Amino acid sequence: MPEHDVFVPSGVVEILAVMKQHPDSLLVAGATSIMASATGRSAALSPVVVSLERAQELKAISRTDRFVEFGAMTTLSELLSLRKGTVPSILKERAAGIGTFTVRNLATLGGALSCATRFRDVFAPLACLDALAEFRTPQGSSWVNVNRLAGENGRPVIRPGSLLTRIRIPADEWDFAISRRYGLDGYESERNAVLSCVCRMNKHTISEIRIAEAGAELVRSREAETMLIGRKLPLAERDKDAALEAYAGRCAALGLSGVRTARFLGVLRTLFECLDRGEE
Amino acid sequence: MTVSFILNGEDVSAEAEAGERLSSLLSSRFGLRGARGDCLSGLCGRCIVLLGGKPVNSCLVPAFRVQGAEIVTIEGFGRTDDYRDIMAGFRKAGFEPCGFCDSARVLVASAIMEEDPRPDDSLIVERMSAISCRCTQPSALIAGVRAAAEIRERRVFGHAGA
Repeated sequence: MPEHDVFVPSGVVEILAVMKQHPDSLLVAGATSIMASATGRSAALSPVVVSLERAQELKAISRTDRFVEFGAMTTLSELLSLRKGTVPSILKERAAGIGTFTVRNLATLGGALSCATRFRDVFAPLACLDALAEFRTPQGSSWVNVNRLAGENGRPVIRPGSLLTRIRIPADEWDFAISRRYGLDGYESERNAVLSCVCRMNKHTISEIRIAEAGAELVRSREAETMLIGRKLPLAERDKDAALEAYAGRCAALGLSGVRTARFLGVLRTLFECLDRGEE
Repeated sequence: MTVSFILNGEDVSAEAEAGERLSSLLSSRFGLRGARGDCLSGLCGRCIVLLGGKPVNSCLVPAFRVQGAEIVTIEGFGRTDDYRDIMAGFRKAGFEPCGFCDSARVLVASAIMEEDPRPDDSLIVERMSAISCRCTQPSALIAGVRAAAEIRERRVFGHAGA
C-alpha cells in the first residue's frame, strides 16, 4: 500500500506553510476531477497531499454592491443555492450543467479554475464577466483577471507555489447574456467547449461586449470586441464578417485546428444572429 | 493511512490508501454493499451515500477526505423513520425501484425532502437524474417521492399539507 503524507490544514496560513515545506505537494479541493479520471479502486496521488477541506476561510461567500465574492472551496451546489440575482445567470446556468447534484455537492469553484488540462465549463462565463482570482503566496496576495489564467497558446496556466483563495465577480448589469456548451455531453473531450457572451446596449448600439470561448483553449479577442463596440443592432453583414475575420486571426495565432476554428466561427455567427434578435 | 470517521452512527477506523474510493472502502472493509460503485466516474449515481448529510457519489470521494466526517449508507439509513416513510410512500404510489438503484433512490429522496418538505415535480426530476437507471418512469418517481413527503410530513407535524 503506497504511503502518503496527508495534511489537513485548518486555515490559509497553515496551507501556505505546508506548501512551502513541500513544494511538490498536491492541493486537493473537491477531488472530483482526480477521482473521475482515475481507473480502478484508487487514484494515484502525489506523496504529499494537502486537503483544503477544513479551511473555513476558503468557504466564505460575501456580496457588496460592486461584486460577489466566493471562497475557492465554495461548492457548485452552494453557488447554485444562492437566491436569484446574486450570481450572474450565465454562470449559474453553466454550473448547473456540471455533473449531477451529487457531484456538485463535492465539486468546487476553485477546483474548476485550477484544472491543468482544460478549462471547465464555468470558465467561459467567468472570463467574459472579467472575474478576478486571488492568489496567495507566503509573500502576499495578488488579484489576477481570470483571462490571464490562459497562456500565450490559450492553454491553462497553473501558478506554482500559489494558492487560489477567492473568486470575485463584478456585479455589472448586462442587457444580453448567453452561454452555450457544445460537444459531447457528460464526457471530457477536446471537442467540448463553452461560448459565453455578455453585451450592454444603448439605443440599439453596442456599448460593451465580451465574448469568450473556453474548452481545451481559451479564445478571447479584445480586438474583435472593440470592432463590435459602437455598432448598431442588427449588425451589418460586413461588421459580422470583420469580427469573424478577427476571431479567425486569433484562432490562427493560438494554433487551433481548422475544424475547431470552423466550429467556433459557426457558433459565433449564430451568436450574432441571437444578438440581432435579442434572443438569449 | 488510518482513516477514522463516523459510519452509520458508530466511530470506525480502517487502513486505506489515501486515494482509495470511499465506495471501495465501504464494501471491502465494512462489508457495506448498498453503495455500488459501477462507473467509478460519478455518472451512474448508484454509489450515493450521505457525507455530512449531503448525498455524494462515494466513488468520487478519496479515503483521506472522510477523515473525521460522518457517513450514512443505506444500511444505516434503513434504521431511520425517514426510511420507513420513504418506503411507505414508494409502496403507496406503486413505485418499485430496481435492485441496482433502490438504495440511491431512497437516499436522494431523503435529500429532496430535507431540501423541500413539499418538493415540486421539477426538483424531484432534477435530483433523481443523479441516478442513471432506466427502471422507472419519471411520473412514478414523482408520485413516489410526493407520497413519501406527505407521509413524512404527517408523522413529523401531525398533518399533511394541502
